[in-house]
Amino acid sequence: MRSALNKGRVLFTVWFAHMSAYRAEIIIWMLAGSVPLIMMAVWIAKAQASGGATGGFTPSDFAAYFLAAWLTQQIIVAWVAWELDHHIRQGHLSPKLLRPLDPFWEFFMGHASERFVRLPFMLVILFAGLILVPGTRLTPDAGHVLAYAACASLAFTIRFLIAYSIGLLAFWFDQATALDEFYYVAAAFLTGTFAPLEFYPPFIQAAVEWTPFPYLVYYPVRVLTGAADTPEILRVLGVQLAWLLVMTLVRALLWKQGLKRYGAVGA
Amino acid sequence: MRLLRRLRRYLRVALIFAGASVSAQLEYRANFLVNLFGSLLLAGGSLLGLTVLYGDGQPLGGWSYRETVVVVGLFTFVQGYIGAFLYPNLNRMSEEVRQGTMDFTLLKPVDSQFYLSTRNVNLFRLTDVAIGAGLVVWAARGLEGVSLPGTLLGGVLVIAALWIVYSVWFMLSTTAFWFVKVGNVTELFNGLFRAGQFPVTALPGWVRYVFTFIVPVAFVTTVPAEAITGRARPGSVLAATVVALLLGLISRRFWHFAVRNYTSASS
Amino acid sequence: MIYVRELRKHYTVHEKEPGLVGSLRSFIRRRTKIVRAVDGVSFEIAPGEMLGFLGPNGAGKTTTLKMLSGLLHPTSGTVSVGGYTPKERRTPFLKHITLVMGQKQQLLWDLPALDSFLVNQAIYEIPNDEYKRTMAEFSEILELEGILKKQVRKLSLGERMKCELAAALLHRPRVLFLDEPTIGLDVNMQVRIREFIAEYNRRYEATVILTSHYMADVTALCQRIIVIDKGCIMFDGDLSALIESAAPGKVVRLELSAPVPDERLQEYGRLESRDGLKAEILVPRHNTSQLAARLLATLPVADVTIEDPPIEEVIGQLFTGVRAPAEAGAEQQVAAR
Repeated sequence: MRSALNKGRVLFTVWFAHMSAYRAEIIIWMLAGSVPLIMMAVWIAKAQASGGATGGFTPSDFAAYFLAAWLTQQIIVAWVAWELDHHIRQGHLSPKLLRPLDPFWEFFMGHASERFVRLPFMLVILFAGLILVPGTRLTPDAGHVLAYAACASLAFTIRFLIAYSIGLLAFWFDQATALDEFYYVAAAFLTGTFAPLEFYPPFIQAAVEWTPFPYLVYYPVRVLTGAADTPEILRVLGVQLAWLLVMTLVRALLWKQGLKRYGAVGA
Repeated sequence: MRLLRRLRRYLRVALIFAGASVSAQLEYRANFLVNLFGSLLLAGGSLLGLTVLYGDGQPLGGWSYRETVVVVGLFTFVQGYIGAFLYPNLNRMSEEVRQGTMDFTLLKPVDSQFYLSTRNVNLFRLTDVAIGAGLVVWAARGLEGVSLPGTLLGGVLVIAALWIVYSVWFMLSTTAFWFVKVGNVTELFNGLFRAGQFPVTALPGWVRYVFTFIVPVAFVTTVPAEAITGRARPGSVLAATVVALLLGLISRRFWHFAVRNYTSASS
Repeated sequence: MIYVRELRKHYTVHEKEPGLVGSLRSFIRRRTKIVRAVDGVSFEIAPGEMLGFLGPNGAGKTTTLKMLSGLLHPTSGTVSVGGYTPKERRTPFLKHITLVMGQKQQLLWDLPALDSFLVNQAIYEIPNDEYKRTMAEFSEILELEGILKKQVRKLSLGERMKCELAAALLHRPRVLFLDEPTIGLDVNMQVRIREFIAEYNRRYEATVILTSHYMADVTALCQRIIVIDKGCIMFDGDLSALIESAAPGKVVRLELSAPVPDERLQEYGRLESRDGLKAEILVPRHNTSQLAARLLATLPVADVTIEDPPIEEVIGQLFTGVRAPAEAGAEQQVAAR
């Protein structure tokens, strides 16, 4: 146990230093993921055009929703599929495989520590957004903020496991990264970064409930904006834990099967 | 005569590049299906998004659903163009500067900008081009304002749009000479270009000006779509042409400036 | 320590005809063929032994090494390293071995090497005092002073390799798999790395398996040689036995003080080359010394050297069955020094 903690601590500090060397790139990636902000502009214009509110959302409701969505999207972003694909196909996985630690943890710590490099920039943009649209407020209640921290961390871990599983497909296909792009396209429309899910046709809302997508952005956003009550928060955390379990199993299975094939791609 | 000979020589070089990169890609035949699926997913998602946006039956910034589909079609078309022609060429520039292989490129006896811009074609991303064009045709057939002259004007404006996108993309890639580590600055454009899937009038006041004059996204999708749907304004047609020519010129100048200041990777 | 029986690794690869037409054809119908990278290899290695793997490119050396380290799962056959089955990649096994690849690196590119060492210390659970002791030892032998705190990307190739080696041996493994550890390094650095490996082997009685293109690496470190070609073992035994069996003669290099006709030189053995006053004669190994004495007594000799033929040549002969020109071999050997 103590040695596991020590491993985590060392990996975190070293990867934090590593990621800090890439802060300029991180800012660019952050700005590139600005779709929720564009959608915020479109929906605000729409609410204004229809006389102050559309579907029960006022301009400042939209601002709060999309700012929270932007924040969540920044927290859950994962590029490990691309990284793994590269490692597997170029053979860089080999040195990592020969260490007595599942390479998963190193990738995971790399991503987790990167969040903390992002943090100051995220807060700056968040506050700029809150000031730019008058009357916009996120929840002032400490309980909701804490619940959001839990929801967002779980969402990040689920997304990371999805990306990791997709990346592991590089053991079988040349095009694992293309599959991750599919994920991005689907996520852009189904996680809630395009519009609050209540604007979607009912059958899509019902179908999406059975996927992890709304639990990555939509529900965490409801927690941060204060729209979710305690029973809803508990339900969201429960479903997220279930998805976490499912993806952990999927990843473990792909990892076990994939290793048998490693090297056949010329590593 | 000399110009014609030169043109023919460059055309031949471009064709040889295209042939070589196409046969390299045919190696990965699963890519074709994967990309086709990705394109369909993207187009389907965009249409779903529009359905959500038009859920209350109100027009968006003065554009009807079908008219906006023309914009979405053009957006998909341009994305395919970027994926097929710009991305596989220009996004290698930073890597070339980093590794010092840019030296070889600059020593080739063809125009270096031409060489860097035409070496590769990503065949499979042409699926986006086809689907985008299909969407435009499908939407335009059901619209009243569509006429032959308007469509022809639209075609010219699309060419101007492609030229604008190329110039901006090329300039962003050229910054690699200075910001070696920053890598893909073009991701910035990618993020902002997402605004191009809506008519620029769907955005509120000052945001609209940003996407017209600071980031010329409006000229890429909205202005050609205006011409096709029969609502072209002489002012914006003229502006699009001027912007295209100007950006072309500036990007060329910028490239020469960058090459003069190139110090080569000595490490 | 290491036990390998009937080891095989077969791959399926796609074949493609050249040109656009060929590409289109293989786009529609794909032809495959099976490559036998390693095809029935058996050997045993004792603890503390240093073994050289020789063979041309694509002979199966690296594939074998990767199966021994557990990276590749064998198609068939048995491998046992220190009592473990490598492909299971159990933690005690991984703490027991290391793999160094001259062309792949594990150090974090943008950070000082010291940071990568700390990561390895944590991952391999090396106690602090042991870590300090090992670091002090390695710093001394490899002269790491002053380069540990520089960013890895700013190090020279040689400095980087020293750090790679230190990082790979930090947990004091008992089995070392070294795949081209000196590739691309200058001669001084090659010697330094070689000395370090020899020292490590002596101090910790580690088993070392080495592949290299530089024959000097192998001759300096290894007693025993396995020559592998097309996935099969061609020779397994002593380096000197290999030379004796493949090259039954020695080369006598003469510098004459006065002209002598070719025929008089041919009395002693096969005349390999002749250039004015210089000559090379291949003489039978068993009575080299008698012949040399007679030669000195009867001919006007200014200078004489007697050597084994260059090892590159001996190995080359094993693969091709044809003798390479003696001169070319000699030049190579000079270049390798």
